[in-house]
Amino acid sequence: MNEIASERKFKFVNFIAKQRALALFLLIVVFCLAFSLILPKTFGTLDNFALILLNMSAESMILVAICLILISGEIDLSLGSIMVLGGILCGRFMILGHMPTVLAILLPLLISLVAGIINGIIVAKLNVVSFIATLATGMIYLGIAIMLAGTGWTDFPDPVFKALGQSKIFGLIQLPVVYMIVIIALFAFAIAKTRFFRQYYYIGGNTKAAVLSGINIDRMRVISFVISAFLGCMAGIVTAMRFNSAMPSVGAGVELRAVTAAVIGGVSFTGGTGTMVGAAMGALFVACLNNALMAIKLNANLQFSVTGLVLILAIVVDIIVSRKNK
Amino acid sequence: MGKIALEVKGIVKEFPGVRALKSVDFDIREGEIHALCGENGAGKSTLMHILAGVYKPEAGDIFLKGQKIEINNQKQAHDLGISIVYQERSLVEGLNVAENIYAARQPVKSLSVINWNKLYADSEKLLKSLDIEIDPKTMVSSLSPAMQQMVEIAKALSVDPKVLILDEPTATITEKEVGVLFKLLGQLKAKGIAIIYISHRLAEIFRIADRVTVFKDGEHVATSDVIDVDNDWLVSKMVGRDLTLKRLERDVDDDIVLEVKNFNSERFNNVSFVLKKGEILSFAGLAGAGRTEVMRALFGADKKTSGEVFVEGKKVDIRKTTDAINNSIGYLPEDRKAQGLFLSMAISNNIVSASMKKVSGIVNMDDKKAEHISKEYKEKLKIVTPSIKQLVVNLSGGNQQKVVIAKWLLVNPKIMIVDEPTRGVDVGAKAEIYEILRELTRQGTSIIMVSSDLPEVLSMSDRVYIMHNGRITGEMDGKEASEEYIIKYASGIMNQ
Repeated sequence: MNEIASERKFKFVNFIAKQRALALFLLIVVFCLAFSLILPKTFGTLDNFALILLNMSAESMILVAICLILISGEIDLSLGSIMVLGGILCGRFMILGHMPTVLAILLPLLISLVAGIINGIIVAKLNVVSFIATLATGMIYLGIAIMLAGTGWTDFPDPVFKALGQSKIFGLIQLPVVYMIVIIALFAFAIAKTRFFRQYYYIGGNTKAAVLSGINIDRMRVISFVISAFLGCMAGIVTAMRFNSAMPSVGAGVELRAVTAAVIGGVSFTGGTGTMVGAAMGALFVACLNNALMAIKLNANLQFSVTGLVLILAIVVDIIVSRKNK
Repeated sequence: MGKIALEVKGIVKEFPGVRALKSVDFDIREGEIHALCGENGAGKSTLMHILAGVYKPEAGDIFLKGQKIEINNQKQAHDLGISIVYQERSLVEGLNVAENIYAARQPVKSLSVINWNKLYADSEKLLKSLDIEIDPKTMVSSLSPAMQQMVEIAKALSVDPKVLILDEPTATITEKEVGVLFKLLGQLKAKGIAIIYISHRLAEIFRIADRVTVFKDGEHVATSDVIDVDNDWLVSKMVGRDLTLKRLERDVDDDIVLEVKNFNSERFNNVSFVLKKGEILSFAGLAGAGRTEVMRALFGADKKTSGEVFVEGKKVDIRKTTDAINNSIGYLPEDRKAQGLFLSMAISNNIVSASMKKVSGIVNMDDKKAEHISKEYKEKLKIVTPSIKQLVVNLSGGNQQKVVIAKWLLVNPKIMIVDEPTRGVDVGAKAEIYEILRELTRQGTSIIMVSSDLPEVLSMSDRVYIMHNGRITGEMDGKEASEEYIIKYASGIMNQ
């Protein structure tokens, strides 16, 4: 009798360890159902769920970038700055430079590639720890952005730009949500299924062994930072589209919120483990939680504390699971 | 006799300040196991890294099947059919066996999308052909060290090599698993693969190698057919002097220093034993028998579920490592790099690290005193280093081990637990470590030695306990112990 119980317990523990994404998804479903029953008018509406998704849409691109970088065993703290820079450049090019919309979007993206290459070279070629390297470059990028922004840009002249951020499909889902789903799906596939991206697991899991397995880790690192910067810039442009404005304040703390979501979703901070889908579920859970806290009219400042609590809980669960598995 | 598969001539490799290889020659034939031995720093690993494409030699030529080749990187070495099993683990714990075997070489469909079916099928076929019974979908983190070693070998063989190099493949596996490994090497040999076998364990060389080459200080000393030479020849070539392990018969007092009663945890059952004053007490057994776990629990590093400890007749309660240290118990861990040393710190800082009180005032640390003490131990233990300010990471394995020993000598415990004290240590340093341990017992320290090295157990022990599967299965006097007896008890064939 006892043995059967312990076997069941063991399986449950295994389930949480191996199927992190699924476990979180079930938790989200239960959570949303429960709150929808409690607050059918404020929380449990279709509009509200669309809003939850919309609110996480831009930052989810940062999440994708962070997820990739964390798996490779690095960190990119310049993401928030690049996000700001993306939006500001876009606004400046369009409003001051009178550029056509396409160019005003493509040019910042190109510039972000340069920022990513700089990050990558400092980390991979000069062997500066990524935490410090991107902390420094982040300040540089943010400084440039603020200098170019002045007080920021509002009211973009081209209605198409605004439409790309604010149109709804089925009269419900705003376009940034669609971008989010496409990008997460794309990278979830790439990270889980392609040989190229799976190299990051070897690099993050055992760097020396990765070198000896013939992986060009320098090149792979530069590429990861370029992808990261590109996604950061996209997040900035999408945010500009959605609010029809570009402000230097939007990027504050986004990369650490993304780390929070990724770690809740089972991505290891030390590299080598985690999945994109898990990280996305982590972000979705945090988004639902914060929305529910607003709906029950909890002091908005307490959201931080609750998110912190969830992060600690997630890590404690990890520790318990790994102990039980020993 | 097979054709020559790989030959190197006049290889020179220099590092800043050191000439690691001084024009060495070496060759290996098809279907041959060629053992390469020498003390740490002899240049074996350097030659390997050259063959792997990690280092580029300053001078010298490499010939593969008579053709002159250049190896510029690891991938090129793979493509040429040279594959290496490194001493360090090269596996990623968070990935499964198949993805580790085909690391970054997974079969793909179009657009780099991995063909999982083929990946698992290939891995299964490879593992089956090597008689390794592991499901390719198993996570590497859940495998034993020995099975991980097998996966490493499967990984090396997955590129279908003509030349396979193994660097200390048995360092972390047990006697029984060594048998499995050797059977596998025999099969590979029969297939015509040339195998270079690097090992500190000389007995292994006589078991499986066809030829043996000895390096010393970056130079080629001798090459011979194994059948023509013996252990003494090998040792004398390696160290330039005679170093046979001799038993030292002696009498030990009957005073009991330590008594452990009914120790239990998830990893071991009902372990009870006594340790006498000035005794060297060995714990023999296979890896995973629970020896290290018992010692860690005794030292307070791991939890026990029940059991009592008496030090000099007095019952003590050890819950954490400081309790053990306060009761004058020292512990030299199995994995010195991970658990015993601060690699990036100076020798002197390491030596005083467990005795900070001795070298500190009320607030400040007395650096002069620490240096003075460290110098003393450097001389005493013959730690080979230009300065005690040297970082430990730059020392050879044997000297690193001496630093850990010095650290505990300074604490001066009554009871010293040493776990695999000579693993990965060369022959010369081994003898010195044995002498240090014996000297310790003369000063009244009692030693518990966990060792998987049978000659070591037989020559050093006053008494031997043998563990199997978490239980003590045998106890015998050091004089009466023999390899056969220990192996029988250790493998669970015999029970007391």
